[in-house]
Amino acid sequence: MDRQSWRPLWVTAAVLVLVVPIFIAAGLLVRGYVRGAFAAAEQVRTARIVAFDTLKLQLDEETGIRGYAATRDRTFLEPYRKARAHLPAAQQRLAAILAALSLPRAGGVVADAVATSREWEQKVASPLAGPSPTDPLVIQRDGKRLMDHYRADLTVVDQLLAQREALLDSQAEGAITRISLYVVLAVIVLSLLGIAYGIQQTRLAWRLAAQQREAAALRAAYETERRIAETLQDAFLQRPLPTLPAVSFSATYVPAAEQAKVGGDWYDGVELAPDRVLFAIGDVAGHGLEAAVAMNRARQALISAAVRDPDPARLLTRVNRELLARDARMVTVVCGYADSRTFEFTYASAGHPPPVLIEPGRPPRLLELGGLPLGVLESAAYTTMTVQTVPGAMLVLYTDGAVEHSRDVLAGETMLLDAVARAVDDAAPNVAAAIHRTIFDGRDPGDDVAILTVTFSHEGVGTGGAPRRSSIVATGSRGTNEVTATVVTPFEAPSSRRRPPSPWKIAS
Amino acid sequence: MSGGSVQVIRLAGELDATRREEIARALTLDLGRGGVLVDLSGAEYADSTVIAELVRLRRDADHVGRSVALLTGSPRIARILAYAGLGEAFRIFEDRGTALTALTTGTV
Repeated sequence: MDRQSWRPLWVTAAVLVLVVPIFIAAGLLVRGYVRGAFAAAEQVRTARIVAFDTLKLQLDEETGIRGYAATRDRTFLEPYRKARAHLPAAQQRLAAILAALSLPRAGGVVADAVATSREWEQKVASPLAGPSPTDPLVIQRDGKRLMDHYRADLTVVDQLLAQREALLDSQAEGAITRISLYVVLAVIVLSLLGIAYGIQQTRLAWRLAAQQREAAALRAAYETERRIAETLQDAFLQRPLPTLPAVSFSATYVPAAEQAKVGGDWYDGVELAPDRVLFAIGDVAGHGLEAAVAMNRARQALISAAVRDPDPARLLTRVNRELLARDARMVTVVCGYADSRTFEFTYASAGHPPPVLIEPGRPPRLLELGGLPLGVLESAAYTTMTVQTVPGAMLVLYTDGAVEHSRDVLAGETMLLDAVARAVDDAAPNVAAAIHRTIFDGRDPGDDVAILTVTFSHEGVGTGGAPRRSSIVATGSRGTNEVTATVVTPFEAPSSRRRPPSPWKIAS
Repeated sequence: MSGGSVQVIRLAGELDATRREEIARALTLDLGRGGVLVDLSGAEYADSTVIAELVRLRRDADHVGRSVALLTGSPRIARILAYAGLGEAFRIFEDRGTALTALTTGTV
């Protein structure tokens, strides 16, 4: 596991470390507040009880004194004395509690009540409790006034305490509400942080997954391309050449060593009739799958057109237009027919290096060149060349790698011609492979090289196999092969000019 | 064909696919109206990249009514151009003066 994958755990731990103390602190705060609020409320309640006692004791005194004054029965003085013994302490206690509760106003009122109580003691209780009060009725009127005052004082104190109690209640409530709010806020903030973190992590994970998918797709695409390329290459390499009594083929294809790429080179030999074969060699510009596909397209177009049209120049014209209508990859081709009845090679070339012809007993020679490559110009014109040969003649077709390896095509052509002569002299079983071996001698050609040979057997074909141009064959006049050419342009019927017209229609 | 100044494009050295962009840039028409001479006398090699770009230049030139001629130095370059059938599509000169005269006088 790398560092990245541990991160969520660390973050979760950090969040817990933050959250737990917040909850503990919040709990402690709430408990403290509640306790404090309860203690204060308890104090207030005690104060109210003490205030009630203070009032009750004073009223007990007053009742006792009034009873005694009315009856002169000394038993009435008993509750007075009992209350008298407790009242000052109760009053002091009330004052102390009020001071502790910081209720100065209530404290003042209590002081006033205490003063009133004293005044009552002096002016009312003492005279009435004495042996002979002078004017009991006046004294009792004063006593009632003072008692009312005292009662009113304590009522005020009770009201103030009640207010304080309500205030404490609301404060405690407010504090608890606030703390709860803080806790909720903290939880919300942490949750939001957590959610944001989660989203970020998820997006990271998604991005990672997307990258992995993309990489996998790229790998798959690359694999697919490689597989298709290999399949195409295999198909190419394995395409069998026909074995015929009157015409024999040999071929070799060596891809460039340095890049394991499919080249655009191909060759074909197809039997159209017992005495007639189609041969073709071509080269699509570029390498790789696209070149292989373009190659296959050109190749198929050529073969299917060849079945319908016996004229190589018309064939190329047709394929050129077909290729231009689809994509404009440049293709060079030599294609044609070998007729084993007449020993004629009929071919046309589109931007391709010239075929080599070798006849028994003669040095090999380069044949005529052709027009522009296929796939570059709609109006390109091609020429059909007819070469009258003899039994045993061999046509060598090749791709440019066979002559351009040193980048000097003239030297390359010389080497090729020598290699052809040697392969024929050596009667090599696979002439094409022998030519390749002789030229490269184990060196890397630096490019794909395809070589195809088409050879007439020495016997010709059948009984009626006398060649039409019997004079040449009959006399065996070597060096006088007749070469004729037919020009085909897209807009003209075949004629018998030797030079094709310019394919360019230029207004000058 | 109108006369006027000739646009001379010189391509030298080994002209192959590794220099595709440079070759394509060089083989671009200027704003002139005269003929175009592609001078390959300094070229040592030319592959299909050059062929394709020359054909494109020729097509572009046709659209604006300008003529294009090629000047070759070495026979091997001439041979490669012949392989590609460019002899059918361009006038190919071996002498610079003749080429310029032909382009200037519009006899290409």
